[in-house]
Amino acid sequence: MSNGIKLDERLYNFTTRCVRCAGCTFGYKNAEFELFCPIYNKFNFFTYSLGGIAQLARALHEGRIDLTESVTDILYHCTSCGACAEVCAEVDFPDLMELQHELRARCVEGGQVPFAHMVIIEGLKKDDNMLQKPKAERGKWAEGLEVKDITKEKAEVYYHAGCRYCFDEELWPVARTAVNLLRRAGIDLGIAGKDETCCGGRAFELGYQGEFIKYAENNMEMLKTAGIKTLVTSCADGYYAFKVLYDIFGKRGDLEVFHITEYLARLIKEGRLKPTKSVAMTATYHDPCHLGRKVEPWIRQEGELKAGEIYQPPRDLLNSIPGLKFIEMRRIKENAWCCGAGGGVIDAYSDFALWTAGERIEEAKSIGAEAIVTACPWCKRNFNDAVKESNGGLKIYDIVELVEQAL
Amino acid sequence: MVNIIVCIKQVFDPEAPASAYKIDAEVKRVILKGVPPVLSPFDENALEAALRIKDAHDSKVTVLSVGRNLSKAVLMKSLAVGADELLLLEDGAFEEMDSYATAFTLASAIGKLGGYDLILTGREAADTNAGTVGSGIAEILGIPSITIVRKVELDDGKVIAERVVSDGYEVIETPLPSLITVSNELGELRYATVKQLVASRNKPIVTWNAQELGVEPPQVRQARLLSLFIPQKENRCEVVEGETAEEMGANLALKLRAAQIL
Amino acid sequence: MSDVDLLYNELLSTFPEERVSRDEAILTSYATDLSSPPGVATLPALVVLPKTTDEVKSLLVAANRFKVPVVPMSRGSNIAGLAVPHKGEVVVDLRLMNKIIEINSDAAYAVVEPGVTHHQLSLAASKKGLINHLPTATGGGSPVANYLMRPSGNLSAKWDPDPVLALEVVTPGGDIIRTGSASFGTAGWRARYGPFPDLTGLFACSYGTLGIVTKMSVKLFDRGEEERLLITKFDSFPPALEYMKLIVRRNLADSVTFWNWVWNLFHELMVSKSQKLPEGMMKEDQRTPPPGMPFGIASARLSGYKEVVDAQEKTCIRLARELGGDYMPPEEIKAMHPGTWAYLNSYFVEGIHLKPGEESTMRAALWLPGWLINAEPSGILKLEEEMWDFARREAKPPYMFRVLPFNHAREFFFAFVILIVGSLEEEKDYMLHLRSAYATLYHELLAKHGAIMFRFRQDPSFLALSGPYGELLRKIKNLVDPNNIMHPGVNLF
Repeated sequence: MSNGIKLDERLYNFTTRCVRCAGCTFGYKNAEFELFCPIYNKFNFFTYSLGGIAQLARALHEGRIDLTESVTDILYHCTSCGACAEVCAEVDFPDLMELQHELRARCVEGGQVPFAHMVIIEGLKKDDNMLQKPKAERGKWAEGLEVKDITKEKAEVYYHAGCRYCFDEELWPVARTAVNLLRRAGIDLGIAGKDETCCGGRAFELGYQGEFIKYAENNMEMLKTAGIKTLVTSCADGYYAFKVLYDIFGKRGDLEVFHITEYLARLIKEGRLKPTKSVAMTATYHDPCHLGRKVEPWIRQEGELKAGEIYQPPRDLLNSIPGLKFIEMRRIKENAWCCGAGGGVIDAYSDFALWTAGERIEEAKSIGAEAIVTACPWCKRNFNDAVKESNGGLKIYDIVELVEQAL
Repeated sequence: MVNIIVCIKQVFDPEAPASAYKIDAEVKRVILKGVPPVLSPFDENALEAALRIKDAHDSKVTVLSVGRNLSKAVLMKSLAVGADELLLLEDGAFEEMDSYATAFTLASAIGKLGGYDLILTGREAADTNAGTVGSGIAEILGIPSITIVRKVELDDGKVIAERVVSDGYEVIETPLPSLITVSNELGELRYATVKQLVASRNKPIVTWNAQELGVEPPQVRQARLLSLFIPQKENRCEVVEGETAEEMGANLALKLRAAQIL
Repeated sequence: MSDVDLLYNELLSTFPEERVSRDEAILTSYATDLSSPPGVATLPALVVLPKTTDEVKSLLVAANRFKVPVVPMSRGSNIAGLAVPHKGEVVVDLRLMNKIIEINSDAAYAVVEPGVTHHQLSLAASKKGLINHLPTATGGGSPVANYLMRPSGNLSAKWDPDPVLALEVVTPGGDIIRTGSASFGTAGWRARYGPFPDLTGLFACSYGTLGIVTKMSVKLFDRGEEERLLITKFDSFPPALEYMKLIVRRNLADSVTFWNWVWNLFHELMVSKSQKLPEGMMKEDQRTPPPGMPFGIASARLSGYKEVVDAQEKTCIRLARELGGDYMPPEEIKAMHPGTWAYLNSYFVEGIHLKPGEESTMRAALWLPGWLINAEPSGILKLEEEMWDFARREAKPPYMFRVLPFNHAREFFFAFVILIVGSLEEEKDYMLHLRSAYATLYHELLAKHGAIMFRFRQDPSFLALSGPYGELLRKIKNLVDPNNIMHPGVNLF
């Protein structure tokens, strides 16, 4: 009895037309053919690449292999960072991450998912967050900030902190700083505190599309009730969820979604925030996957698919900070090397996540950077852990921390 | 030692949002994208009841499930939280059985296992909500059953159960062997950690197909699925007119009487 | 214990566990390529990732001991089944042997390992003011594997198509040999030929049946002061063929290729974002281009000193016009076939593949590896007619062809490609029908037009046609690989 899976025609066609060029593993524009696929780089077998996964998916569809634990183990090692989809075929569809998303949905439907993810989703269903922490504590990060609560008062802009910021105490200062910066610029801001729930993005990436829809509907209901038309978040994964995924599933409506970096860049341009103090350091910028290439093909505006990736605003921000020497790594922008946390890898395969982060840290060091600046709490968490593992050597900042230092 | 059998049905996650449901009308099947199979929630309550008994008495808990394409990974959760053995009845013939065929098949397996003291099931499955399989098994095995129970305790060869009724609960006693169907008031199933899930790989999982079980599921289905569809909800709003509030009220009353509601 | 079990255990004494796999999921990914019909695939027995020549040696010695067959795979981008298992072989994935060992600017050559890609080599050569022979195959492919099969490319005609100099090979018996000047150890890797019989040639077109190549030195060439793409257009094939013959024999171009109009339309996929083939390609009459479009173009690569290139260009245009063709200036070709212009500029002139190049065209249709043959010029003219005949009998649109001279125009390479547009599930029968049509076709073409299949297509009866030559090859095969462990799936011997 074959326990395979069925793909739709577009995806199956893709798997039969893969030329096995392995172009999915190395960059072009911004990376001089340097390898940028974490699983390929670590495990080396062709299987651990988009092309290899395509061959595997083809075999599943054709009934030549069953959906075994071994298969899901390979699939879930991929962070679905999208570096491969960027290079292969270079067109709007396929966003070849669709292949990973479909395969994972099938894994979920077949009840064949890494144990770590089963446990995390149970936690999500119970406490509305991805970190298995009590729901009642979700608002603690904002204690003392005295920010408006959108469930009680009206506010212009809603700041979505996200599960990682809410429950990772070490990262609280970053979210608090973001809120303070926005208020300093005169933005009428509100948060949801303990009533905030997960955006559902990670659940989607793990294949739990049903769960994702629930959270999308709940979030949009809350925002509608609160009369919110503009959302800002510091979390790149959240940005991707609200801006892209909610839109694909027709849930986003006319909600405007911003990432903190583009919002701050605009505020600085308008003169509402003025960085004047010098921040002396040599720093490089790590492009979070969910802020850049994962957002690229899917923004629907006026019926057309347009690119919505954020590569330049964080760079503008860094360039506006006096005294900061900004240098670029080799694998940047759409060819950036993933931090290793995404797609559930930080939970199910933490050693591999740390290895991936370690590679990025080495790249930063190799160009002479003292610090990596990023714009996503998952990246920051993974880099922090990797630096701890390797006993230091590089500082990790979120971009808002440096902006604050410069004000 | 108390020999407990818990019947657990694998269902699609009942917490999936309504908008995720699609129907393939031709094959009369539900399509739920990205929705996992889970242990039916009331069956989880039944398992929790079994584990509480095991906490208090020397027991062996065997989990039994029947179907097709059963997910070992999902059902292993029962082993991770403390069940001792998993018995899967897996066969193409066991797909989409009606309540009677399900009760018959489970009862056959239980009969074949023999030596049981207590059988626990959920009060109803979270997908069909029919609620008859538990009692059905008891009928076929010829043992007493108590349904919709919120507490189960053993005492000297007897089971003492608190049965939920609309204004409270009844306390009922019955000798072993017997069958109890459990309700959510009993309490949630304890959590499984990743470590426990991994360790559950060391516990035995036995699979029987129809032949090994020694049954042919009854050819006559008591119920036949005619069609499956998502009801179209239509909201129509008629505004009752009137110059004054009294007039509007009177017009509303007339409309309600015309609709035979008053 | 089976032979494979024994081999696996033996390998674990040389290789770390992470570089030897028998996991079904991993094996599955190595089992199919573009040529695999749906549902048909043989799993490899194992996959091994060696890092050094010594590791390759111990692998082959062990494979020989237990008589388990082996498929060497450099980068695995072959689209005709040459890098996938057919008889449960061990796949030797050489991707970790990926160093460019040397670029010698003085003598103009590079020494590369099999896991090096065309991209890598192009980039490294370019940094030293040199250019390597670039095939139309994907940039992620391996020069080692590709060059050993006499590829077409951007330097095919002027410098002769064989970019291979010396090799390091591990024989099935475990001997590590170096050919050419490399056999001496102190003479570098510059020379194909020493004073002894040339065995590099033996390994060319052996498709991994005689040993595993672990190093290769390849020809590099100076970049010209001026490098230019010259496009001329023709309304039929014969004058285009004559043009190509003349400009190559008279040293007017590094290389030149003829592309028919369907292929030029096909190139649009390299710059457009469309998921579908351009409409114009699908017309029933594949022979007649749409009004205003040339039947085909010839793309010539000119390079050298500016004065020389200017003169070459002028002369080429004159020759084209004398034959009834015409010059197609950049603005014209950019407007009519922007994809062709972008692709050929990148490929012919810059010497690097357009991102991501030909492989991206596969999204719109399946490229069935088809006719690839070579013949002398007069034979080629007859082959064009043969092709239209064949297409009318056996194929449905679209299909396309290109032709280019090799080796000073003594032979022309003729590639006829059929594209399968529907889903492979729907078109499985069509695909299988074409493959069986090809089986007899090559024999006919050889008999009627003196055309040789360019690359071996797993038909042992073809080798038999070469008489005593084939016999001698068999003797050599038996000598070098008595247990027939090297790539038996090729069906060469």
